[in-house]
Amino acid sequence: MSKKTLTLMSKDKQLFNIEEHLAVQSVTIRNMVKEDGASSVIPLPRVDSETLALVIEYLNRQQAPEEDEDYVKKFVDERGEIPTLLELAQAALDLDIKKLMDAACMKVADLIKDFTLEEVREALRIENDRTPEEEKAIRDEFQWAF
Amino acid sequence: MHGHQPHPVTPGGATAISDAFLAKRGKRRGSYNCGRCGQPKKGHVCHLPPPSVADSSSAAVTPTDSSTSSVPPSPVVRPYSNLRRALSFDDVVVDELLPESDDDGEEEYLSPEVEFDDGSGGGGLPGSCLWEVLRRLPPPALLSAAKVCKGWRDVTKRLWRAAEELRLKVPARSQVGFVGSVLQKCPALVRLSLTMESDMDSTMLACIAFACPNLESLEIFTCEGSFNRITGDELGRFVADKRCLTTLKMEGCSNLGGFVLCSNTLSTLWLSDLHSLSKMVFSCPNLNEISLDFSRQESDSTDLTAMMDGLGRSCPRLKNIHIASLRLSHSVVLSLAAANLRGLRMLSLVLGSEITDASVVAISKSYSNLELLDLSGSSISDSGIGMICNVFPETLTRLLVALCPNITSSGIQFATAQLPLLELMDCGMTICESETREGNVDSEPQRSPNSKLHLTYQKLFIKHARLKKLSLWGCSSLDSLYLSCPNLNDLNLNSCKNLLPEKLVLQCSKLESVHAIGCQDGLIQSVETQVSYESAPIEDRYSCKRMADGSKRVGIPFSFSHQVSDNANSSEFLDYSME
Repeated sequence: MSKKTLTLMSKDKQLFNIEEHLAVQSVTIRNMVKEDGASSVIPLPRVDSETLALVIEYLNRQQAPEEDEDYVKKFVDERGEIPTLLELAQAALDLDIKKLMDAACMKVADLIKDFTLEEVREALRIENDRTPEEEKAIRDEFQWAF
Repeated sequence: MHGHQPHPVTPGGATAISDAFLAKRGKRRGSYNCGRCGQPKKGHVCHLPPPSVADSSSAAVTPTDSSTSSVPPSPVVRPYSNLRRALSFDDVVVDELLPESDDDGEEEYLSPEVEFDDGSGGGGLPGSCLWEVLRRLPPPALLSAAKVCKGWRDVTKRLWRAAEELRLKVPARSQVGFVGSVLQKCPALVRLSLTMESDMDSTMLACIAFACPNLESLEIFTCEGSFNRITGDELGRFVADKRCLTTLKMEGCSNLGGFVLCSNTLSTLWLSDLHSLSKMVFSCPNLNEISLDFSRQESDSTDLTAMMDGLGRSCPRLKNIHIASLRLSHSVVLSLAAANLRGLRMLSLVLGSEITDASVVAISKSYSNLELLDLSGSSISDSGIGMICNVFPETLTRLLVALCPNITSSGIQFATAQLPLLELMDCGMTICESETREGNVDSEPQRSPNSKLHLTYQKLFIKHARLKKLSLWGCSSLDSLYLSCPNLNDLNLNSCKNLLPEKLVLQCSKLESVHAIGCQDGLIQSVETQVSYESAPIEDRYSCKRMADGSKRVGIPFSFSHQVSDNANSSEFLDYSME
């Protein structure tokens, strides 16, 4: 296996090195490498440097296959902040790293599933864009669920 | 023993049957083994804690009753790793499974529309990611998520619409309106699985029929305390009306009375808890797999011979047959033999103590291509085994003869020597003194003195190239065991209480789990030393870990007084709780 190193560039222009055989766990990167050899720097304009650092930490893990599942779960659990997780999930989605994306999205879903509406809006900084009339209409529709 | 949950069985010798049923469940998609750790289990495990079902019948038909607010908001939308999710959430109420293929397309379509708040950094949830997060929410939470904002509402709507598979736990005291309003949102539903904590009745069935025009698979599991009121007529109408239905699995069929099922599409039919059926007509020319699990009551009056005659006439394509009933007899087997089902590959006739060596002759004359034969609980003897060995050496991969008191160690040895393709063999409770054969071991003091009287220690030597799984549970007369099976992966020695540690020789380099509850103290150690000796360091540690855990946590079919129950966090070990 080649020990070639790839360089990834985050949204804020920071550079990260990673061995190619580890980087290609990302299907997106694998395809890029396949297409043009990826000799130069691979820009990742949607991923900020903190998130990319996490992604690289994940890609560099050295786990036996049978412990991988647990590792991913723990990896995500240790980053319990919803905004961080969302960034991570989005990056994993963009880079097509399935296990990481699964775990991060699942973690977010687990966190928000018991939230009230207000808590969800607060955690994700979402404005309530509904009028009271609309709220009522929805309440009526799902009456049994309340 | 997850098989017990959905199939209430008598405490006696029925354990093997439950296993057999489980095994049978594994037959979906032609894979027998995968069922033991695959999908079927998922269903069982996630509703293990049986809820105390209150009077759900009285509140049954008030669609907008507010009592549903008590629905615990804890279910889970399943991502790819279904099994794990199912196992890790015992309180799952509703599971939804969105097929991957759907969202891939959908996702692209969604992204431009649902980007909001994007500039704010950190808090914003881009559309594609939102889809991924929301599809992992349990349906009640998904319903609430619709209220967060308009963007979320759109995504949830699409999620519901894209759903092809829904697993719904119907809480006690919820009404048909609950199921109805969920089903209404998912017009594309193809597979529906309901776990009923409330009673199941014709209204519910009609609601399903109405809301899911494309339904191909329906599973109805009953929980302890819930009652399935569906009658044979209602079921027959449902089956006749659902023109796409290929799979129907229903538990708690005690109220059917009798039925006529007519369907050109139906290929898999599992009915359990059947009781005293006046008529059973299967007009299903494409039926491929049938599993009929009868109640264990002696009073069951179903005429199985007539049923088998009918099956043979109207379902020529049957490949897999599983019937569990105390009323199975030689004449039922003769009817089956006369049916001449050319495709038959898996045959499981369990609990029929009147099935004898003569029945084996009949089976082997008509069906010489069997891959699986399960005659657990029958009266066949070593000569029956001999016939099996003569007829099926080139096809049989799985042989289950648990709870067959007339089989001895030489029969088992003969089978393993003569059936080169064998991968699974269950000989539970065969080599044992008669007292423990019933599997009823509550009476510890009574057992010991009696059994010692006619206890003859037996030896077993098995050398087999392919065998992957061997079960000798409850073989209490076994005192020495020599196994040379390079592919053996799973060995069940539960309750082999007279097996001597120094007389256990294992030459099985691939052994991963050994079950040894109720064995002599030194046995586990003996196993560990021998397995460590065989395998490489890393694997070795791994297998030892599993062994220790497996032998501690795995449930056994009958409750030994010294059984260690440490079920907390046992989910990952359920894989190993076979016999």
